[in-house]
Parts: sequence; C-alpha cells; structure tokens
Amino acid sequence: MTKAIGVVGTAKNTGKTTTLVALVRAIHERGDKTVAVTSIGYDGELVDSLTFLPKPRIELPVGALVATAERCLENARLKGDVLGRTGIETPLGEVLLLRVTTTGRIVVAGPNQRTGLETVRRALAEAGANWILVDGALGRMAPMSAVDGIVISTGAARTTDLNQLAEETKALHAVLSLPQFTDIGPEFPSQPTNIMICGRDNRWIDTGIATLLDPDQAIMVLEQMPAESRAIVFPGLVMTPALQFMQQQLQEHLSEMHFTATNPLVLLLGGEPANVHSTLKAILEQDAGIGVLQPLPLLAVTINPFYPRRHRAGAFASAYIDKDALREKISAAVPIPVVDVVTDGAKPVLSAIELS
Amino acid sequence: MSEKKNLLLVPFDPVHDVGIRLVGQRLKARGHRVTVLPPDLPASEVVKRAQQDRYDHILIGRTMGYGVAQVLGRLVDQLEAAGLRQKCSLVLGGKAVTPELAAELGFDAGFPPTSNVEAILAYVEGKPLDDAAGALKRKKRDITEKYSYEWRHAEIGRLLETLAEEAVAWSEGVTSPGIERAELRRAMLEDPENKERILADYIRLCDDLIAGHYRSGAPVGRTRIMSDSEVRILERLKVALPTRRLQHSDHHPLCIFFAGSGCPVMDVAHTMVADGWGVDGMILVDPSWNARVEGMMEGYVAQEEDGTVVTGDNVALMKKYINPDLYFQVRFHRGLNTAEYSVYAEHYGIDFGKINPCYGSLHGGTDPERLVADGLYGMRAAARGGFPFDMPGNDELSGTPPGQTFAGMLVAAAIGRRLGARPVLKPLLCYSPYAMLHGQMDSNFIDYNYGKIKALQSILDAPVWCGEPVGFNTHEDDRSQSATTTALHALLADAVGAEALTFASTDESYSRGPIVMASRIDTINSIRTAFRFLGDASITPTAKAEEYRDRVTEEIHQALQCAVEKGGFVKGLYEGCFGDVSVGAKPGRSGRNTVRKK
Repeated sequence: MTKAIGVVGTAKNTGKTTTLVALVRAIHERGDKTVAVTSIGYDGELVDSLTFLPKPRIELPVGALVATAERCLENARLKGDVLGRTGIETPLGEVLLLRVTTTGRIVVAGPNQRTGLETVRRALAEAGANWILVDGALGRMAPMSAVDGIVISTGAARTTDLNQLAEETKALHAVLSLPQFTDIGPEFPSQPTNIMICGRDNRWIDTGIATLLDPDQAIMVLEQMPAESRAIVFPGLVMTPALQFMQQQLQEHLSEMHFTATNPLVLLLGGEPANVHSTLKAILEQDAGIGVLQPLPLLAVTINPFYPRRHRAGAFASAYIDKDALREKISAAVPIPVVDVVTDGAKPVLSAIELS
Repeated sequence: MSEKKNLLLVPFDPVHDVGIRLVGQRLKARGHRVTVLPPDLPASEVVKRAQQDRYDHILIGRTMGYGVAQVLGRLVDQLEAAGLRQKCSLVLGGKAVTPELAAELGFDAGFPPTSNVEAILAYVEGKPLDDAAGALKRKKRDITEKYSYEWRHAEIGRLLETLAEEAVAWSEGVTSPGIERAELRRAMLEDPENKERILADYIRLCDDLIAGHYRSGAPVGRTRIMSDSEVRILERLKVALPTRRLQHSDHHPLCIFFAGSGCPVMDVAHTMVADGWGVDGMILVDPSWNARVEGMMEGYVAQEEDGTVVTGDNVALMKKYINPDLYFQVRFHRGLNTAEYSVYAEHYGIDFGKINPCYGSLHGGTDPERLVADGLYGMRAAARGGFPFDMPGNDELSGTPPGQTFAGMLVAAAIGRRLGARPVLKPLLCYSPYAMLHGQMDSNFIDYNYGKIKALQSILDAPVWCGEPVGFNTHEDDRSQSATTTALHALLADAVGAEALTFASTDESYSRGPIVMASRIDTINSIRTAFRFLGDASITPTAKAEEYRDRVTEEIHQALQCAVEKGGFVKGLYEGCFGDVSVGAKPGRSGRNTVRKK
C-alpha cells in the first residue's frame, strides 16, 4: 500500500527540502522501499528566487521515482527514463514521471492543486512507489489533502520568537490531531461542495453555501439551521473570524452539535494556527464535538534554526538562533518527534512515518 | 474567433494597479468579460468576490517581495480550499514574477511586466502561444529613398563634379591586382563548375601567405578553419524574438551594432541575441591584416584577433542565419581586397557597402591611387547591385579637422552619385583630437557635432548615418558611463536628422579581449531608454552650432579647391589637400605602384 507524506513548511526557508532530501536518503539506505518525490511548488533551485541565498538541491538515488515539470528536465543532472506523462500543466510545462537511472540533482516542480496531486499519486503508485514524499512550497498546504500524513518543517524563518513558535506548533498539532467523525450516515454526499447541516431527523440539508468566509455567510448558514441540529460539515474554507462569529451566535445551542471539516486544512487556512486552535477550544468548551472526515495526522516536526536576516534594502544574510533552545521549546509543545534533520538525521522522522 | 472568457482581475497591490488595469483594457477590447476588483482587498474578500461568478481565469497583479510570497501562497490555498481551483485557473502578474516563482506559489501561469500582452491573451484564450505573435515586425526600407542627391551649395557642388568627373574618367583606364582578382572571383561565383581553372589564375595574383592557404592549406596567421560541427551549432541556437523597438518615435534613427568577434558563429549568435533586443542591423568588422594582403581566404575562417575574416562562406553563413529583417553591412572601405569584397557584397545581397577612399588611404594604410581605383570598382558594384554604400568619416580620430574629412567624404559621394550609386554620409559623432586642441567641445558635445553635420547637409541632400560608433572618444572605463554617453549621442543623431546610427558596447573602449553580449545589451537598453525619454522633444544646440557649420563649410570648400588645383582627387590625396601629417593623415603604402593602365 502506498503511503504519501506531505512535507509542509510554516514559511519559506524552514527546511522542508532539507527534510525531504534527508528522508529520501534514509529511505534509500533502508533499501526495501521505492521512494517517489514530487512537489506542489518549485524546489531544488540553486538560489532562492527572492532572497538569492543558496538553497539545497534535490539529489535523487538510482531507482527513485520523480514527478516533475518538463522544463525541469532540461537542466537536470540526473538521468532517468520517462515513464509517462500526467496531462497536468504547470508554468514550467507538463508534469512527467521519471525513474532515476543515474543519480544526480534535479529541480522538482509538480502539481499545484489537490486534484493534480491525486493524479500524480496514483500514477506514482502504479509505477511502483511505496512511499511518496510531497514537498510543500512556502507555507502552502491546500493540495496536501491528497496525502496520508504530514511532516511540518518549522523554525526561525517562521519567527525568531520561540514562545510564539511553540504556541503555533502546538496549535498546528492540535488541529491536525482532530479525530475522524464517522457518524455521517449513508445519505451524506461523497464529495460535498456546500456546507451541510444534519437535523435531528438525520436528514442532511445542503445550505448552498460553499465556504464560511465572513459573518454574512455565517448568517446565511445559521438561517438554514433547524433547531437541534446535530452536525454541520464544512467542505471548504472556514475563516476563523466567521467560525468565531458562528460560535458566539450559537452559544449553548452548540452542545451536542458536531462541527466537522472535510479535513483539517480547511480550518488551518482560515487564520493563524493559534487563533484557529483557540476558536476550536471555545467550541469544545460548549460541549460541542469537533472532527474531520479525512484525518491528516501530524507525524513529526522538523526544526531549523536558520533564517534570512534582512540587512539592507533588498539584501539578505544567513542567520541562526540557538538550536538547543529551539529543540527544547518545540519538544515541550508537542508529543510527537521533534527532529533537527541536520544533527539527528531523518531516521526519527522515518520511524514516525512507519508507525502511522 | 475564440469564445469569450469571463475574467476576474485582482490588483493585489496596495498602490500599483496600473499594470493589471492596462491588461484589463486589452482583454476587454478583445471582447472578454472583465471584472476589475478595487485594489488591495483582503484575501478573504478576494475569495468571496471570486465565488460570485463563474470565472474562467483569475488574474492577480502583485509586485513581488519577501513577505508577499507568503501572502500570495495563502491566497492560492484559500482559493483552492474554497473549491474555486477546479473551475478556473490562477494567473500571476507583476514585477519580478517568473514562471518558477509562479510555480512555487501555486499559480497556473506567471507573467513578468515585460511580457507582451499577446502572451497573456494567448494564455487566457487557451491558444498555444505563437512565437511570432507579439514579436516585433520590422521592415527594412531604403534609407536613401527620400533624398534627391542634389547639390545644395552651388560652388562646392561644381568643384565636386569636376573632381568626380576626373576620377571616374581616370578609373576607366586603369586596373589593379585587386580589380583583377575581383573579376576572377565574380567569374568563380557565377560559374562554379569552372572554379578550379579560374582559381589557378586567382592564386597567381595573391600574396604568398594567401597562395599558401589555397595550395597547401597552410595556416594563415592566427586563423583556423572551423569544422562543420562547430558551424552546425547555429542550427540548435534558439533565441527569443524581439518584442520591442529601440525607437520610441518614428523619426528616431535605426540602430546598428558591430559584430566581428573573430568567429563567424559567435557573430551570428551575437546578432541573434542583439536582434532579440531590438537592434536594426549589424556591421561586420573585418580584420586589419586582411587590408594589407593581396588575396582573400575561403572557408569558415575564424581568427583570434580583432575582426572576423570576410570570406564568401562566412558571409553566406551569416546571411543564412541572421534575421532577414536586419540590415547587414560588409565593409570594404580600405585595403587591397576592397574590390573583391564588393563582389561578395553584390553576390550575397548585402544591404550596405562601405567605401571611403579618402579615409581608407590617409588613415587606413592603403595607397591612395590603388584605393581610388579599387574603391570605384566597389562603387560600380554597389550601383549595379542596387545597394547603398556609406563613407565613414573616422579621419577625425587621427586629428584631421572635419573640413578635410568631409571634403574627402563628399568627393566619394560625388563619384558614387555619378556612377549611379547611392552614397550615405557617415560623419563621426566624436570628441575629436582636433576639437580637444582647439576647444570647440569644451562647453558641450553638441554644438560642434551638430554644426559640422549641418555643413554636410547644406552641401548635399543625402542621408546621414551617424557613426562609427557614436560618441567615439567619450567612453570611459565604466559600463554605466559608456552606455550613457552612447545613449546621449543617439539623441544627438536624432537631433541632426540621421537615418541611422552605429553604436558600440560598453566593453569597446577598453576591452582587452572579446566583447561580451551583456555589454552590448547594456548599451542597447540605454539607447532605448534615451529614446523613450526624448520621444518627440528635441535637443537644441546653442548659436555656436551655426558658426561651426559655416566654418566647416568653408574648410570643405578650401580642401576641394586645393584638390582641383592639384589636378584631381588622387593627386589631392597624395598632396595633403584632405589632410597631412600635421593632422594625422598620411598616404598609405599598401598596394603602392600596383595600379596600371589597362
């Protein structure tokens, strides 16, 4: 069974690609699994396209699979057999599938949205991939609903304030740990486009509203909510202030209601993790339940003490915070492995993936 | 007609929404439905507005910066989470946007501000981008067309006619080894089957150095023959097509650059790149050693010295790969192979020749009598071939005053005119040693250049092409300064009504090696910027310019009178009418006593 893991960064330069490369190496060293790599952005370039600081290159071993855009093959140092084309277009051309025959470096640019990633995942699985690593881009994560688990890379590039960083990491973990909501019932549509409300009679109402963007949309949903509704499912973007508004309107009516999102990402994209977390907590305090239809567990956190420090208009220099303080703070915030892949290697992350 | 699209334009910049609004205007003009949001809406508001209709594409305009990327990435994620990505594509445009950045941010396409709108239209309409769409369409024209070639100064015109008549009559009775070789070359080109036989006669008229090349393949100086595989590199070379002109107003001059790296393949590559940046043409600079040797080589000859060796094969190669919309000039203004160069120019359909017996003999090292004989042969070829030739006035660089320089240039023009050719005046825009000594350019670089060219124009109604390159002697060992001075002189060329100008790269004033393309591009961009700046406005000289015009006219008059008194153009050249040692002019020695009566 193929396992797809997304490496998501909380910001640019948090070490996603370093983590990914370390994971590829660790998997390859084990020798028993075929690893595949793709990206939801553009990774492996020589210098950062904005700060011009050096960036890690993605080096892939023989036998690895990679899904990347056609133009990235032009300057690739590795050699490989093209296994097929995916029909997915990116600004750098169509995404192709390759099996590496001569090791070397390559830039990986892959599908930029969930549907594309699902296609690529299937294609890689068919080509024999056991573990698929999906490199994130910047802090983007929406397409990652197509993977089975997440590794988050964070660090000083997100913020040099360790307290804030710890709070955020904790919040991310909490939201990504939301349990699965299973009590949907057979009438629930398999791919809902709109917010769905379930009344006490177990019938689902389609509200006709796809997202919860603001109080206006919240009111439109609330107006359709029958008394004693037992569940509400959010298929798309939930902006935290709108959710807060809804929670404030419903107050005690929340008890025995279940708030469900299709996956944790639609909640996380609605605001700062800490705010999302506190809003969810406020809902829980009213004895409501919170869950997701599709869990997306956070398996490990990798930490990076590096950050680009702006030292005059337009120019950046490399800077680092104390890596032991970083490790201590973040480890205290979450119950999952916290790994500095540069000092610890990727094996602890690999173990966490295996156990999932 | 493609179907009309429904487009949402989002100026995501707090201030700069002009770019996206201009794009919006073009899209609307094409019939698409365009909704432009107010600038700087928060992301959630953008998502909400995007939900309100079924859009085919959402175009987001934003100047990039470090923090901006995060914000844009988040917006892309939110649009996806809102279920909008399945229905429409996301396009990013703005400063510093590249396809790589667009890919990283999750967009489907990215366009920097220099993209031409055609590319954006093609994407929006779902059409494959036709490489030629939006490409600059140039059309070569005859720059001599609107000129009457009438004398505007009666007295000077009369003197010139006298000199021209005498020179033409004289030339009809003489020949030289150069002319004979040119005739043989012409025969070889027209009758390739008999080449071997004709070549034997040709070789007999060559110096040992060149004869050795033909007989035994002996290397000639620092040249080597390039291999077919090296030349085939050109088949794989792909360079972006130009999308913008250098000129902003229609009267701004054509811009021509020098090639002559020593390697014909490199010259083609440089020309293709320069084409992509909007230049109008190229002058092939040939080596100086070739001027002193009787005979021309054959083959794809490359050399490690200044200039690219002119051979039929090299010229044919360049004609094959260079955009036919570019002007292409081969020089034959000095040297013992002048006549043969003109045969190649005619045979391969070159756009401009270059002949100036005065400059070529007093400053280029060729014997005056020989160069007048061969030069007139070249002018006849130009007349027959229907291509103009220009006459560079680089004499000024040696210290010769413009009066004498232009007298020589005008005699060549008069001769050319008489032979049915169309000469182009090519005065040098420069900081001349003469002006340095006598102070005409102490105050500014405008008045003297302007005045001297007005003198020329007040004598003959003929096109002026400022050369070569413009701003000669004003370039310092600094790229920015070099580019700037060239650009300013470009404006001066426009001010005098020039049809064209020749420019140098920022390397040329001090290059100790090959000229790099980046240095050319510096200058090209500076010229374009200067033209954009000036547009239809103008540079006005001070009243001194008129003074200079009158003085130079008088100097021209005197030089021509001198030549007539001495008995003709050739005699005038030898006897200092067009400049002597005191002003850096000296009759050349190459080819001395090689002219004989037919």
